[in-house]
Amino acid sequence: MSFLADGNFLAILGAACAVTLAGFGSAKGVGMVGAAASGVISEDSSKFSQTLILQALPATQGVYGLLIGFLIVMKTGLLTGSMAAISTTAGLQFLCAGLIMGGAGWMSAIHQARVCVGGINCIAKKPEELVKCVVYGVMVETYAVLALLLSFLIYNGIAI
Amino acid sequence: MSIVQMKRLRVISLSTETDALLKDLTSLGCVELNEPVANPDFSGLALPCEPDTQELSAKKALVKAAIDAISPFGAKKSLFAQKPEISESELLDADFSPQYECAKRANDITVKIAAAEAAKKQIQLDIASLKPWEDLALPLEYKGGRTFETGLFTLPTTLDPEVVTSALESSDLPAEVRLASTDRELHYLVALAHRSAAGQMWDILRSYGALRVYPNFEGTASENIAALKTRYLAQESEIASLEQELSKMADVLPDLERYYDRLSLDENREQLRANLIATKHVTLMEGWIPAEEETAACKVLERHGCAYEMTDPVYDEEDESTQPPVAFKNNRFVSRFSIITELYGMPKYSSIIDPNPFVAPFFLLFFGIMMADVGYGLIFTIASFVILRKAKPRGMLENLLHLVMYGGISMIIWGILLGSWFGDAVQQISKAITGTAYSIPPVFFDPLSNPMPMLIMSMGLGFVHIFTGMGLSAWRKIKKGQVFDAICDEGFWYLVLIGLVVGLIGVSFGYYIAIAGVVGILIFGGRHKPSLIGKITGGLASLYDISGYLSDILSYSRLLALGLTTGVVASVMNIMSTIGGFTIPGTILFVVVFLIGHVFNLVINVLGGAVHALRLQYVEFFSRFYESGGRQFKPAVNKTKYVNLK
Repeated sequence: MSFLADGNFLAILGAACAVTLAGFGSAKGVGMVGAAASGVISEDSSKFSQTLILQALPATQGVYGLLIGFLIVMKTGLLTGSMAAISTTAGLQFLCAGLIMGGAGWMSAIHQARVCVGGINCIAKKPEELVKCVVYGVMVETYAVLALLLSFLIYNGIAI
Repeated sequence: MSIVQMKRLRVISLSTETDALLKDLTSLGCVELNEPVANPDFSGLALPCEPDTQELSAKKALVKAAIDAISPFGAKKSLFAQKPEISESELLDADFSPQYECAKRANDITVKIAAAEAAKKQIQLDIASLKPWEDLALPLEYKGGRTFETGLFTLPTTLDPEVVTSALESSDLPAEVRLASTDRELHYLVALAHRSAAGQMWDILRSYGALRVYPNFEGTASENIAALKTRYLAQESEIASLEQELSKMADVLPDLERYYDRLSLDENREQLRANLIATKHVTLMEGWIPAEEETAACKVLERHGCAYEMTDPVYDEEDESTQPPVAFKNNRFVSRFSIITELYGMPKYSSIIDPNPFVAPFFLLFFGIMMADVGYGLIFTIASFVILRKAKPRGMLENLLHLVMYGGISMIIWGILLGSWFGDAVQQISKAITGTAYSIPPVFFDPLSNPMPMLIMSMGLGFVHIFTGMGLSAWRKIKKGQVFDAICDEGFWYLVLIGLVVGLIGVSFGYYIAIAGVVGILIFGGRHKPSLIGKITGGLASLYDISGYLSDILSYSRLLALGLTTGVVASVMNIMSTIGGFTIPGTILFVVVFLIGHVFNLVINVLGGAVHALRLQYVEFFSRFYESGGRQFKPAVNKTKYVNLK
C-alpha cells in the first residue's frame, strides 16, 4: 500500500476525483433535464432554445471539475512530461482540493437538474417565465461555485 | 430616470367617431384602455361592446397560409435582411382587395396540390399491392373456366408453402398450388383446381392459414402497374405545374405580407372594443396615459370632438389592483436594461424607485468581470454591432443586441485590466513559435496567479452594490417622510458594516463605530413591536440580519470563481491547440482546436456569466429595496410582423 503515501499518485487522484465526480453529476443532471426537455419538444418544438438553456445549467459543474483537475495536472508538471516529486502532504492537499470540487459538483449538479426539470415543466405552460426558472437553478449552482472557489484557493496555496 | 407618472383618462365620444378615434389613439401609442370602472356603474344601461374579430382572423389565417405556401418560392431572405419601412397611413389606407383575391387563389392551388399529393400516395399504395402479382399472366379478376376454378392466396412467411403444396399432393385432388412471389411478410400463391375438387382444396388451404384475396383490379397486374405509373407521372407533372403557378406569385409576396400586417392591426384595434361601453350614439372609454403625453392625446381627442378628462390617479397603496400601470422613462442607454427588471416583475407604482439606472452599470460590471477577456469581448461587440447595423432589428431583439454589445465592451475593458487575451493565447502562441513566452501584463493583477486581491475586489464590489440598494431604500423612506425609519433600518447598518470594514483594515476606531451601530440596532430594531419584551427580542432578531449581510457579500466571490472558469478553460484550449508546435500540421491543428475550443468556452461561459450577473441583481440587490407587484404599462400600439412602421 506504499502508493497511498506517494504524493504524485495522490495529486493525480485528486485531479481524477474532481473531474470524475463533478462530471458524473453533470452527466446525470444534463441527462435528466434533456429527457424532460424532449417531452416538451414533442408538444411544441419552438421551445427548443429555452429548454436548451435549462439543460445547459447543470453542465457547468463538469466544467468546474475539469478546471480544478486540469490546474492540478498543470501544477504537478504532468503535462510537460516531467512530473515534479510531490511530498505526501502536498499530494493529500491536492486530493482535498479535488474532493471538494468533485463532491460539491456532483451533488449540486443533480439537485440543480431537479430544479431545471421543474423549470422545463413550467415553461411548457408558461414560456415567458424562463428567466425565473433559470434563476432558481442558479441558486443551487452557488454551492458549486463556492466549492470551486475554495478548491482553487487551496490549490493555489499548495507549495511543491 | 424614474417611474412614469400616470393619469387616468376618461373619454366620451360619438359612436360614429369611435373607429377613427381608436385608430388615432393606437398610432399615438401611449394610451392603455381598460374596462371602465366608472362610478356610477353604467354596465346595466349600456351593453359592453363585443369585438367582432371572426372575419378578420379568418382572413388573417387565409393570408398567412398563402404566405407560407408562396414563400418557399420567394427570394431567399438573408440573415441580415432588413424589414421594409412603410408609413402608417400607407398601410392603413391601402386597398388590399387584389391581394385578398391573390391569397384565395394561392390557397386554391395549395388545396389542389394537397389533393394531387394524396392521389400520388394512393397510387403508390396500389402499385405496392400489385407488385407481388406482377409476374402473373392471369387477369386479376379471372376466377376460372368451365371446368376449373382459380384463386389467389396469401400465406404468412412464418409458414412454409412447401408444406401446403405437399399436403395438396398427398390428398390426391385434381388441384395445384404455385408460389407467385414472396415478400417480407407474405407468400403469394396461385391455386387451381377442377370444379369438383375446388371446395376441398379451399378447405385444405384455409386449414394451413392461407387467405384468399380478391384484388380490386381488372386485367393483369403488370398492365395495371403500367397504367398506375402513367397516372403517377401525370399527378407529378400536375403538382409541378401548380407549383409553377405558385412561384409566379412570388412577386406579390411583399404585398401579401403587408396585407397580413394590416389585418393584424385591424384585428388588434377591433379587440380594443372589448374595453368600451357604448350605447347607440355614445361610447365611453377609460384607460391610463403617461402625464407627459397629455397634450398630444388632447389634440387627438379634440379633433374627434370628444368629452374627456385626465386626472391624477387615486389609489390604495396596499391594494395593487387599484394602482396605475408602471412604465420606465430612461435615457437610451439605460432603457436597454429595463428588460432585466421586466423579467423580474415590475415594481409597484407607489415604490417610486426605478431600479434600471442602477441595474445597468452593475450588471455590466459583474458580467464583464466574470467574462473578462479582450478576444471574447471583441467577438461580442463586433458581431452585435454588425447585426445592428445591417439588419436594423426593432423591439426586444434590438435591446438584447445592444446589451450584448455593451457587455462585450465591458468584457474588453476587464480583459485589459486583468490581462486576458483569449486566455493566455499570446503567451502560448509566442512560446510555440519563438520558444520564449511573451505576455501582455495585466493593468491590475492576474487573478489566476494572484487570486486574493481579486477575491477582495469582488467582495468590495458586492459591498458597494448592497450599500447602493440600502441607500435607495433609505432615500425612499426619507422622501416619504420616514426619516427615523431610514436611520434605524439602514443608517445603523451602515455604521456596523463600514465600522467592521474600517476595523478589519486595521484602524481600531472602526470597531467603535460598529459597536455604536449594534447598540442602535438593539435599541430600535424592535420598535414596531407592541410589548416591551417584543421590543427587546425584536432588536436581537434584527441584529441577526448580520448573517444575511455577510452571506450576501460572500456571494460576490462568484465573480472570482466564474472569472477563473473563463480564464482557465481558455488556457486549456490554448495549450491543446499549440500542442502540435510551429509546423504545418501543427498550424492546422492550432486553427481548428483554437476556433472550436474558444467558441465552446464562450458559449458555456456566457450563459453562466449572464445568469449569475442577473442573480446578483435579483437576489442580492433587489432584496434590499425592491417592491415588486406592479403591472406593466401596455399601451395600444400598431405592432407589425413583416414591415417596420416609420
